[in-house]
Amino acid sequence: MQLPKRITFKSDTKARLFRFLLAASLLNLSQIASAEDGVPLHGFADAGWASGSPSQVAREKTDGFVLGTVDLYLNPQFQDNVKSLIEIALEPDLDSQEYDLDVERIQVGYVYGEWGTLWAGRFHTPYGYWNTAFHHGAQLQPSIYKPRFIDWEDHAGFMPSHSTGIWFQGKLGVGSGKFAYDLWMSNGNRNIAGESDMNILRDDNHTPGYGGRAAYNFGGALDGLSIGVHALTDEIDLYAADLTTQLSRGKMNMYGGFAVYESDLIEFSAEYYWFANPNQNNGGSPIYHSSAGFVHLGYNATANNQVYVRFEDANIDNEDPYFNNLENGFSYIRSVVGMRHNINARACVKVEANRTSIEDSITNPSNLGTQGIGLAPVNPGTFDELRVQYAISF
Amino acid sequence: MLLASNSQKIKYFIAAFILLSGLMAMANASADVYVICNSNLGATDADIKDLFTGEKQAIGGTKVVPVDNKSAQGEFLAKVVALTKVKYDSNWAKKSFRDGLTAPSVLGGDADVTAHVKANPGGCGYVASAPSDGVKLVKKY
Repeated sequence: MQLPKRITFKSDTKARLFRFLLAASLLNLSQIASAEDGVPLHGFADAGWASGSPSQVAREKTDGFVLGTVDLYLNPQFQDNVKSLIEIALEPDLDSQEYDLDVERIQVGYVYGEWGTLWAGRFHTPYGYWNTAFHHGAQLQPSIYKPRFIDWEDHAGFMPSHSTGIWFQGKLGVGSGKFAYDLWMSNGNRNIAGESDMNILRDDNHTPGYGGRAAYNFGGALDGLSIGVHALTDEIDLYAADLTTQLSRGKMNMYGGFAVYESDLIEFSAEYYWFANPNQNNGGSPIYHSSAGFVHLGYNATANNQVYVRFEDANIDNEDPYFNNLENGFSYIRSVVGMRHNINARACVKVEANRTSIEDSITNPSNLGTQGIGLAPVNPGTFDELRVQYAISF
Repeated sequence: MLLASNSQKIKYFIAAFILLSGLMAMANASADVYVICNSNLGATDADIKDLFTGEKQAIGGTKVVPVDNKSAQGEFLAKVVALTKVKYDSNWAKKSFRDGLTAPSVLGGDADVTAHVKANPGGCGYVASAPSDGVKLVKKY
């Protein structure tokens, strides 16, 4: 039984035809909507160049010109209380170097008031700040790379960055600021041969994932500062590439916090994640502890020029089946330094250098021995990279 | 002769100063911004910044539909929301992407904005000249 995440095609010609027709339909929909309802088509696109020292993570080797994600979204609203977000991304596949079509978000929301909107559909999982604030918005994002451990599921992310289910979010005025909150429940994710994968049609193990986020957005003299906490839990089974053979079970319990500060001079964000993951293959024992976090600081040297630095650190217990079953579930440290020039509100150029040190030595990924899923052993090492990105939004 | 000449110069200087001050006062007067809303909408001056930055979308159960006024936007952004045009546009790009909100439409001038405000129960906007009857003046800046 195949549970597709993406629309894939055996025939490249058919795939290209489908992509063309989809893009044309979306543009046509936008034109119709523009004429009748004033719904514009928005999106992001970027292109750039990269050069890096040899990385042991083959798919992360980059040398030459790079195309980024083409992200298109619409946010039609229907009467006063019904709104929606529909987002489609054409995303370069790191292995095949072909574009894949991803339905990023299909959210239909009912607005009760500022205190509450109930969304149903597929949404960006609300944890921390970056995942919902920037996601595929390369031009919005202060840096070229997002922090590695909160990258997408099919890149190097540790957590499900998308969820299919329901999401309640709202804000309440408290003092001079606002108290913002999110609660969500979704189909639990699954893991296919090392990549976390969202279940968009059904929950494979009938165990929902759920979580929450709460933050206080300060006002007055501290306007621009937000401090919050977040948590999520998900039970994720590991399947072989045939999508049916269940090999292992992993469970993630994440707790953490985040802080954001934005002013004319400073753009600061920090997120922390602490994991207490029980071994579900052994009755929930033992519980493995891991952690990950980053601190990002940008300084606006002038109105349109920013310099930024970021430090990321992930300390992973390699015995934990949840992380051991992930292709990129290992400890690392990454330092990033970069510059961003805003050409205008819709276009920017970024130059970024990073150094990544992999700290773990994993000879038996997935802990499954001969039953393994083909994950490559992980060896300690360091690799550097220089990237340039020209990003636009429309 | 020298004293008379200096006295005359001082008079000319004072006259020029008064004239310049008057012109500056007229310039300031023309740069006033009047924030207006539909007369049935209970918006207050405390709501204005939130309405035009997407932080507040409804008042008393009525969805607010703010619009920008192309001819007065510079003054409005500087005086009322304290943002540059780049920051204002960037803020709305984020609101659109993150929350599914739609940025205010940009109308051509006072007449269009006034017509929008009158026609929509949640209509809000700003004009450069004293508003006509039929709309609620929320605050003059």
